[in-house]
Amino acid sequence: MGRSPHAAGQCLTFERLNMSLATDQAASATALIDDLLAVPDTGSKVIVRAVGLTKVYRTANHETHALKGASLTVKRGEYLAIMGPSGSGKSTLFNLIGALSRPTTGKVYIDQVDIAQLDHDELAWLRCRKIGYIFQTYNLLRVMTCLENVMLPMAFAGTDGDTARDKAAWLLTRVGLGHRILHKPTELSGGQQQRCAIARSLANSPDIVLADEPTGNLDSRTGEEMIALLAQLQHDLGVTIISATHDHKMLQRADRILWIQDGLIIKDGKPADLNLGGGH
Amino acid sequence: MTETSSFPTGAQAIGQQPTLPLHVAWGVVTQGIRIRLGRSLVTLTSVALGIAFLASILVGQVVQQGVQEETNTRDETLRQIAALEADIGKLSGKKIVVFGEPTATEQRLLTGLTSGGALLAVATDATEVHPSQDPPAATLRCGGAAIPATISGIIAGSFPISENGPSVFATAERRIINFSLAASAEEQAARADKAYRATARAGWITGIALAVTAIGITNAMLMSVTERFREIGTMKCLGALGSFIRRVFVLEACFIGTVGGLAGSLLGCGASLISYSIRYGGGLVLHSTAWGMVTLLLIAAVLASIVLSIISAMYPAWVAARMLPANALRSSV
Repeated sequence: MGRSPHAAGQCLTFERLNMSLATDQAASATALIDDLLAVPDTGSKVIVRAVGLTKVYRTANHETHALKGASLTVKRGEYLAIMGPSGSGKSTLFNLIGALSRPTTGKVYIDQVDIAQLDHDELAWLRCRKIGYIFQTYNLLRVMTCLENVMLPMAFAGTDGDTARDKAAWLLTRVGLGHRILHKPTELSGGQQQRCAIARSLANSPDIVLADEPTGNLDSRTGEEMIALLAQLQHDLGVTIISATHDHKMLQRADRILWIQDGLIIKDGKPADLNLGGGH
Repeated sequence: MTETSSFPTGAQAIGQQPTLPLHVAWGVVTQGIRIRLGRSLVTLTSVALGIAFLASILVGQVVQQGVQEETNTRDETLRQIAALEADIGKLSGKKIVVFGEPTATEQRLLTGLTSGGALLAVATDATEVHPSQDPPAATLRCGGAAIPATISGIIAGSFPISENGPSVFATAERRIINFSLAASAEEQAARADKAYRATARAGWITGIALAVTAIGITNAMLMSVTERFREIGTMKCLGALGSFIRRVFVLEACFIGTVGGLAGSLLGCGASLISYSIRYGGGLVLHSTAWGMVTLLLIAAVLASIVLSIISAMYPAWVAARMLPANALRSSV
């Protein structure tokens, strides 16, 4: 039941199966089938789906395999934390899911659209409406006030000025920066800047908010505030949050943790099931 | 969407990102320049100095050429007066008859003769050119005027008349001589050669000045764009189109090119005029410079500034607009 619509999926699976059988790894191939079919793409429920992502960075005399075949599915409204040590491939995975760079092989589907098929301008549309980004270094435009920073994605989306201003002010109030909307980022603390960045990420009501080490530059208490804020926004607005992090404070808030190491996803499950505390 | 489209191939759900009106890009540009005033001023100064250098070279050439021509005319006048004096003696008190319409150069000679003490009389017919009473020391034929029949009756057939340059009929003690005050062929060739060398040298210096300016401006604009790759990456994450990024930088280059070009032109022109005025004297520079040409060159320098700024900003802006945001965000200059 429900399998016949997955003809394409099965096709891919059988190819993989053949490849794997050829290398006498029938067991792992079976695991792969299970893996692929365990999370059927139910359309509206799945917001991000990545299949067999690899990424190789080439320099003149060196090749770095940052990702070695990562597949994942993220459901709408989930709070997912991608965790792992430095250099494990978290940020690479983050960039691929966020359509910020292209995989060497593999596919990323965002809301069922294969982003490899999109040209530059269509990617701009996708980044503008579907995804909100939060960075470790905030990446606010320091030439603009908080309000203007939050209005900018709406300007790119073609929202008229008054609507954008109202929504930006509302968002900034929502993240606790209502009293600082006309300040420049340089006049704010790190935590305040990150709040502004969070408000900006929500400007065009995206389906997904991608956060790359959102607490990386913040002290422990402020970091906790940010994580709580993200969790609350996820709860209130129903937005999907995907965060690359190595901040263990995320463990308590995230719905699901992906543990990535040496370019491979080695653990995937609820925080309580993963038992990540000790070993890492 | 149903389950049948688990692996969609098209981009049905993707819309068209609107192209923002020009004033939005202009707003980003002016805001950027205002906030990064220090950095913008450095870029602006680089452009202005490049153009100032170019403008000072160009204006300097016009001034030098003007001064050179004026000096040549003065020397030529002195040489002509000396030639006349060699024939008729000291000018003081001598009567010299002029017929025909003097050219600008000949007018300089006449002024020189008057200041030397000669008494000029304008003649219209033979009796005034060759009066029986009080004969003149010399008669000057100006502007290549045709010899009136009344005069040619007296001198025709006896003397060849020079067609170029002022001719002099000296009439001392009924002796009529005719000679040209024009410079000799050798002298003229030497002058043409000197002028040719000056032109070649001017061309070479202008070329070098233009190259130096172009490199200076390119460097300034290149730095100004590449150091903002992170910002560009951020804007791309927020949904900026490549065309918007390009437009922002081209507009900025246009602004910097115009302001830098105007400031540089005035600065270069001013510096050049002051230095040449000190060297040759303000009066001579003011009197002998072709101001129309100077104005044209300054306009050309401003245009060069705008064009060079835009061209040199276009390449990095184009690269930045096409960059994947991840690479743009990672870059550090």
